[in-house]
Formats: sequence, structure tokens, C-alpha cells
Amino acid sequence: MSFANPLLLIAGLLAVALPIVIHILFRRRRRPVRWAAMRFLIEAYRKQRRRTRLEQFLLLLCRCLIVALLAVALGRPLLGGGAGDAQGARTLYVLLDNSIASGAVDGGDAEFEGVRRRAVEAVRELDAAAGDRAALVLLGGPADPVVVPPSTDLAAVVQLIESAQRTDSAADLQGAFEAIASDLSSADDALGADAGGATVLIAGRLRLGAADTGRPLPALPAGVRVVTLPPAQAEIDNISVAAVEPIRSVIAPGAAGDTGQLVVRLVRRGPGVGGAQSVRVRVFVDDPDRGESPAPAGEAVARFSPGASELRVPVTLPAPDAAVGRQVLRAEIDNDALSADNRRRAAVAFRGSLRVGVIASARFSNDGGVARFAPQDWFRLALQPTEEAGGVDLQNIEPAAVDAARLRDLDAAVVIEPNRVGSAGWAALSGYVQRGGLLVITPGTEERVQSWTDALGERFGLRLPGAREARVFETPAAVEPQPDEARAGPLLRLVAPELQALVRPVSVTQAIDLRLDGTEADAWVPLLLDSGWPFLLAAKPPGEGRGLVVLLAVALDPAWTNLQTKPVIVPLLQEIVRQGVGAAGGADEAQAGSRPVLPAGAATLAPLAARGEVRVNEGRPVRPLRDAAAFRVLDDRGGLLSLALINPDIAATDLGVVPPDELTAWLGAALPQGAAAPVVMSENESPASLRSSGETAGGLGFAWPFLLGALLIAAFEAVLARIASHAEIDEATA
Amino acid sequence: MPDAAASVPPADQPAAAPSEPARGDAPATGSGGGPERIDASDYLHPQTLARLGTFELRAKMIVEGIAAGAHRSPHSGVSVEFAQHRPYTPGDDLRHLDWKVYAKTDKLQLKQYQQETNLDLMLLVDASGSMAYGSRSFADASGSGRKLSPDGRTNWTKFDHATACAAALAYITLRQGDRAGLVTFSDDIHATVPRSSQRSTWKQVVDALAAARPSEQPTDIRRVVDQTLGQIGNRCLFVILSDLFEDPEAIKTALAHIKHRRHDAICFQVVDDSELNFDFTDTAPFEGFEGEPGIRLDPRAIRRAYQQAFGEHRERVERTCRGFGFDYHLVRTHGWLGPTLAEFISRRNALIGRSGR
Repeated sequence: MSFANPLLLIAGLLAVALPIVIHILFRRRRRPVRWAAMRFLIEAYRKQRRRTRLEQFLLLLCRCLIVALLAVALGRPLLGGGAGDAQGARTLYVLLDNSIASGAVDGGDAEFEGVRRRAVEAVRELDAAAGDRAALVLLGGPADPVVVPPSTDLAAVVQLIESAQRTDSAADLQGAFEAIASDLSSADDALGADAGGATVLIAGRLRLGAADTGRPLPALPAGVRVVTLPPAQAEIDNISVAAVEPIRSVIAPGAAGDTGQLVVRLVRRGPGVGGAQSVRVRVFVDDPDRGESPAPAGEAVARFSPGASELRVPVTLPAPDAAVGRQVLRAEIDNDALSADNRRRAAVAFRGSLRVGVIASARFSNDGGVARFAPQDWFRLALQPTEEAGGVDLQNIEPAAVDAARLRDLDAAVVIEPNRVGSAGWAALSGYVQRGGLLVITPGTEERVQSWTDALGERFGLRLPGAREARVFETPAAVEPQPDEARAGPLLRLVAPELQALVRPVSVTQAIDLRLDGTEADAWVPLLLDSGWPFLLAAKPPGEGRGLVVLLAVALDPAWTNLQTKPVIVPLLQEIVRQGVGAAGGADEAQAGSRPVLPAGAATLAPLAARGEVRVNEGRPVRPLRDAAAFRVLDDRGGLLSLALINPDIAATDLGVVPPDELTAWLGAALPQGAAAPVVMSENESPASLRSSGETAGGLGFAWPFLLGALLIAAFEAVLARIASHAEIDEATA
Repeated sequence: MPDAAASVPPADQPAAAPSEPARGDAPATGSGGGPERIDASDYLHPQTLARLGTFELRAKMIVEGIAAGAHRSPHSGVSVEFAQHRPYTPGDDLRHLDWKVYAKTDKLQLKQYQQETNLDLMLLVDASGSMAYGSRSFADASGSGRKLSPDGRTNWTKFDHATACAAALAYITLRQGDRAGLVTFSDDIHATVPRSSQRSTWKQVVDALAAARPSEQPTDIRRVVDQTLGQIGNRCLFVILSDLFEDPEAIKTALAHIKHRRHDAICFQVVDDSELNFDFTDTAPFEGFEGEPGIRLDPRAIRRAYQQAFGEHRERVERTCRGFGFDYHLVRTHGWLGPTLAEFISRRNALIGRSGR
């Protein structure tokens, strides 16, 4: 049993001491009476003593009981958890849908405004004086239990509902139900009573994007009622910006092939998909230091043909004149029914050049021409085909001299002679990768045993059991592009259409086996040998760190392959480095509602727009980022480390409707068997209908029996007091 | 000391002249030898004296007179000498009416005779602790405007009432020429005034009463009666003035001894109205005057049982008295002494007259 007003109960129970205190005080204050006829008094007293004591004890007991029962009545006991009890205080859990789909406009205001109004009305129907309580959970993912456990401060709950803002994340009904179930079970443990009887009000229109009926909801305890506002009746047309994909995430303007091109992917849903539709796409380039740009840098008109639900729109941006560093590409379309998914951001870095360190022994001359090229010479040639070619700065690093200081300013490190890198060198390389660096490794040609693979497994968690010794093929093996696009990864995406033709002349006579032991690593294999072995492997080290390790199965040596003599060598190495640098830097983009992993040293997230900063703790924001925004990731000295772009959750912007039966079945599955089915309110139903039958607003509830008991005992006490006071004798002698 | 107000009529009655107490052959008013001035008016209010003046206290038996002129009962024959007439009062024996005077004057006059036998009156006044109780205010009892007793009390105690009663009886006895003596007691005899019919006896009695104070001892009436009987040779009328809060068996024994020695006795049980009614309402601790254990109780809760116990005791005492042929009279301290005594003496004398003794 719990109590709606426990303080009143405690005060009342303390008041039980009053009759006793009064009795003691009066006992002390009496002055003695000198009496002569003591012999008769003592004789009478002995005859009456037992009866008198019994009467006085009963009187005191009655008076204490009256006070105690009044105290309990004032405390308003709540049986069966109290909440929503037919005659007790009610508990209402308001699940306010402020997810991205709640911003849908069907006519006048956004649907969110309507459901918020209904939620406020529902809470105002409660009566704090009667012990009613309300809890508030905001559904914008992850679910935010703003007021849990329920509070009797209903005004504060109303204020929180009225000040709630829409988010750009998906509705998290699962998380909300988990929070409620956890709260009710903890209330059970604390009060030792059945916590059932609460009402869960889902204040939302539960469109397809908000109600993922494919995912079951966590179970709620017995006795909980689920009531939902009327779900949306009509589907609404909506176009979302699903992706903004620059050709490269790192652009060196002077490099061949680098352009300001990007692709904006649009998705449309709704009844209008059957018809043609045009939409204007504008792309803005926002400088992190100057905030959002008011003028678009590029523009295009997208035309959906009838029946098409997806469209890729290329947009060309003017290339910046200088290396302006990291920029935010913001693509926007015209407003439609849901404005929150009409803009999306992507990061791009405009760099003057990429700094690439080649870790190999120094060669002082290259007499003999191409025939005597060492692997590092091929690398240099591929990355700097001409003297004039910009975009890549090459630096030589002796394998024995690899340390953190030399690696600090590099965008990429290419290890040509891995066997010559010492233990300290590998430690430095490991740290470099974890900070977001790109590490490219080719097998060494100087020794048959590739002992560096041990360091790879030890330092990077990438275990290559078959790579310790190269295998010589009897017949040269061919190289093939990865047929699975997802498995191929982004490294060679730009040259994917021509890749088949480019790798066809390449033959491999010996190679190391790059098949990973275990599946922990997030690995791409853009190129394969015809034997199925990976030819090119790109793997992120296990864990949440950044960085990328790219392994080539062959050394650029005629004894291994003829790759270095084929035209593919230039685009292959160029793409590995250029795309690899972008990929190694980590995902700058994250979905609303997440806590993205940030670069090491990040201390603060500063938004480009004028909104509050978010602190960073242990490499992640201290709270989930539910709103789409662009942040500058700053270190503890305010230096810019990178960008963090939070984009709306497009999967949650489906404005279709869920059939009521399906909705009821989905919600009902969270309730125990035999429980009342979820109630779907009608459009004109008032929140007063949240009461169960027989329930009255502001009723005294379970206090009535205690009041009645106090009255009965008071009546008994009056009779007993009259008997004990022998008032009839007074009247007889009067 | 008690005031004459013990026998003062209610305040609405006219007060008598101050010279009245010393009239006739009443014992002279005197000043005691003690530090306080004792006046007969302190004990006997003029109204009381006027009321009692014509009464004679008689014993039920033939008194053996030791003084000169001792004879048999004056009621048995002719051996009486006419003394005077006095007005008839209700209760007087009609046989003593002087019909001749009635025929001449149309007034009822009673013939009085010179008494030839002596009555010895022995007053036993209880001065035990319980006699110190009194709920009546002194101002109410005095009726003369005095609010405090000479010793500073504001209440009128049973002992005050008993001493006033004793003084009145001694006055009557001495006035009719008989002998009177006094004993004050509790568990032992406190003071004694030997029987005498001299004029100074009244002063001795009043002095002894003025000097007496209730002690904190209980009553032992059996012992006191035995001690008193040991000092008396001739037959006496014992007047016991006490609340008689004692074991009824002890009272019975004492009265049996008196009866055995062929004395007459009158028991005046002096009680306060509060002791009769027990009309307290608030719970309080009650403490005794004679060292009884104190108890806290709700008076209303035990009133009925108390009244029952008290009533049973009183009835038993009365039955005991009457069983020995003695008179018993309940004297309430809230009542007026004069009319009460007058009525009692009148009824007693009438009873003796009818019995032919």
C-alpha cells in the first residue's frame, strides 16, 4: 500500500501521541484533595478499580485510533499501486511523440502541436489534491524520461510538455516502454505493492515512421492500461534528402580529377509517388568559422518521373580557389509536409595537398631506369606522375626512424618495407592510425617471411594467419573487382565503372594471403585475386577508434606482379590515398539521436548555428544529439579537430499510416495476456475518457473507509465516555 | 476557633441583641486563661441560646443524684416542686400543660418543676484527623461577615461543628443545674474537664474546646470510652460527637461497655455534605488526614460505590446505637446547629416522657 500524501500521514500518526500527552499533562497538573472519609473511598476504589482502568484504557485507545484513522485517511492510501485505481489516485504516463515524424503538417499546424495540446489536457484532467500523478517521456529517440517516476507536481509536467521541442530522431517507443516498465517494477519493489493500474497515454499520431510495428515493444506489468490518441488517418506526400555524397571527402583542388561535384539523393513517399514531381535542390557551403552561408553555392532541379521514389541529383559546385579546409555541404529542398528532412549535411575538406610519408630505405640514385625501380619508386611515380602534378606531398621516412613526431603531420603513411620497422615504429604507427591516419602496407621484398604481420595482429588487432609467407602461384593469378558493392567499400567507388577494364591486364605471380582471422574488423575488399584471396584489403582496427589500414597483397616488384607497369597503378594508388584519407578520418556524419564517436582529444561540440555547446566525455557527447545540426569538434584549447554533422533520421520520416488493427495488436502485445486491449481514442474523444468506469474526478478514494471507521469509533467513544464519566449520576444528583 | 455562627440562623433572619448570651442563669461569659479571649458568644450565638434556653436535657434512666436534693425521677409522681411557667413549644409533653392558665389566658403554658435529681453529662468530642475536614466556607458558616477562623482557616470543619454542639449541650446542662464534663480524644484522651455543676465549669469546657485541635491520629473510641468509664462511678449521659469513621465493631464494643455500665448515650455523627454526596467531578489524587495511602481516581467513576459504602457504614452505626437503646443523630456541618439541637432535645424528652421514666 502506498500513500498519496505521505507527509500528512506521518504528521497525523505523530498526532496520535496528542491524547497521551494531554492525559499525562492533565495528570501532572491536578492538585491533591485532602479527604477524611478515605476508608470508604479506598473501599469503593478497590471495587471499581478494574472496571475504571478498562474504561480508561478503552477511551484512550479509541481516541488514539480516531486520530490514527484520520491520519491514514488524510494520507490517502493507494491500494494496488494506487495509480489509476478505480477509486484511488491516478498515475498517467504521457509518452509525447516529438520525433521527426511528428512535425508532419496536414493542413494547418504540425501534428505535434495537436498532440501536445491533447497531452496537456490529459494532465490537466488529473487532480493533484487527490494524489494523482503524471510522468512524461519524450519519444524523440532515444526516449527521454523527463519526469519519471511520476510526480504530483502536475503544473510542472504541463510546463514541460508545453516547452517540449520536436527532434530530428526516430520515435523510441521501445525505450519509453522499457523506462515505464522499469519504473513500475522499481515502484513495486519499493512499496511492496502491485504497481499496476497506471495509464500510459501515447500522445502521438503514430505514423509509419514513428511506429515500427516490426519491432516488438517491451512488456509492461499487469494492470497497466495503454491509451493512444487517434492515429493518423491519411498518408502525406513527403520528399526527404536521403544523402549528400561528395565525390571525395578530401579534395585537393589542384589534383587531377578532383572536382566540386556531389550527388544529392532524394527519396519520396506518399500517394503522389505515382505522378511526376519536380523539386529544386540547393547546396550551400558552410564555413565552420563563419557559420551557415545564406547563399547557395550550387543549385539543380530534380524531376521525379511517375512511379520513381528515389532520385540522384548531381550538383556541381565551383571549386574553391584555395585550400579552405573543412567545409560543410548543406543540401536543401523546398518545404513540403515535413520540413525536418528537407536538409542534410556532409563534410568535405578542401586541402592544398595531401602529405604522404613513404616509409622505405632511402635510394640515392635511380640509375638504370624503370627496369631498376624499387617498390617505393613505383609509389612515388604513381602518386606524383608528373613534376607539375599537385595534390600530394611525398616525404621519405627511414623505417628505423618511424616515430610519432614524424607521423604527426601526415595524412597517409605508406610502408614499403614493413619488415624493417621496429617495435617502436609499429607503436607509433598504431597511435597514428588511432588518431585517424591512413596506413598503407605492402609486403616486403627483401625477406621471404613477412614478420611484420605479427605486429599487425598485435598492434591493430588484424590477424592474417596466411600472410606470414608469400605464396607463389604456378600460373599467374588475375585481379578482379569486388562484385559486392557494400563489400567493396568507398575506396575505389569513383573508378568503379572502369575498374574491370583497368585490372584486366594485371597478373600476380606471388602474393600473401590477406584473409582475416575473425570477423571483428570492419573490412572492405575492393579487389580480389581470382583465387578468392583479397588483393586489396581496407580494414578499420577493432574498437571505436578511427583510422584505416590498407593492405596490398603484393609488393610492387616484378617478382610479385606486373601491376606497377599497368595503367591502373596510378588511379589505384591515387584513389587509395585520396579516398582512404577521407575514410580514415572517421565518419563526420551521424544520425540524430546518437552519441557519435569523436576524434581523440575532443572536448566540446560547438554548433555552427547559435545553439548551446555540448560537452564531450570519453570521446562521445555527454547526451544524445537529437536535433540535426553541424558542430565543430573542438579540443580543450578551442582548436578545431573536425566536424560532427548530425542529420535527420530519414527512416523515421515515412508519413504513411498504420492500420488501426495492426497498431492495436502491436501495442497489445506489450501487455500481459488477459489484460484489457489498448484503447485507441477517437478524434473527438476528450481526455476525460482516460478515467476508467466508476472513477470520479477528485474523489476521496480509499480514504472513505478510514473516515467511516473514525466516525464509528468516535461514536463508540462518545458512548463509552458518557458511561465512564457517570454523567447520569450528575444528572440524578442535580 | 469556631465561631458562634455554628448555630447562626440563615442570613435572612434578624440577628439577636448582643446582650442575650449572658441572660438568666446561663454560665457567665468569661475570658479564658489562655492567650485567646474566649467568649460564650464564640460558641453559642444568641439565637441558639434563645432557642435552647427553655429546653432541658434529660437522661432516659433515673439518674442517681449525688448532689443535694437528689431524688427519683421528677416525672414519676409528686416529688417535684413547681418552679415556673414557660411557653409551650411543639414536642413538649402535653401532660405538663397548665390548663388553668390556658383557661384564664388562652395561652399554652408549661409547668416547670424544680429538678431534684442531677444529670451527669459527659461530652466526648472527637479530635481525630478526619474531623479536620470541612467543605463549607467559614464565611458561609459564620454569617457574621468573618471570613477566616481565628487560626486562619477558610473552611468550617467537622471539629468546629462538634465543638459548637458540645458547647451548646454543656450550656444547657449547666443551666439546668446538672453536672457536665468533657473529654476530647482521638486514639487517646487529649484533654479532660471533670464533671461539675459549678459556674466555672462552662469556662473550663470552653477553654478545653478552644485549645483542642484535630490531631493526625485515627479514632480509637473503644480505648477512650474504657478510659473514661474508669473515671466515672455514677451513671452518666454520654454524648459522643464524632464522625465515627471507625470500624463498626469497635464502636459496637465501646457502646456495649457504656451499656454494660448502665450509662445512657447519644451519638452525634458529624459529617460534611461532601462526604455524603461526594460531588467531585475532576480526576485528582486524594490524600487522607490520618496517614492513609493516597489514590488517584475519577470521582464520578466511583461515586456510586462510595455512597454505597458510606451509607452502609452509617446505617450500621445507627443500628448499633439503637440496638443498645441509645439515640443516634446525624449532624450535617452544612446545617444550622440551633434548630437541629432544639428539635433533637425536644424529641428526646418527649420520648422519655412517653416511656414513663
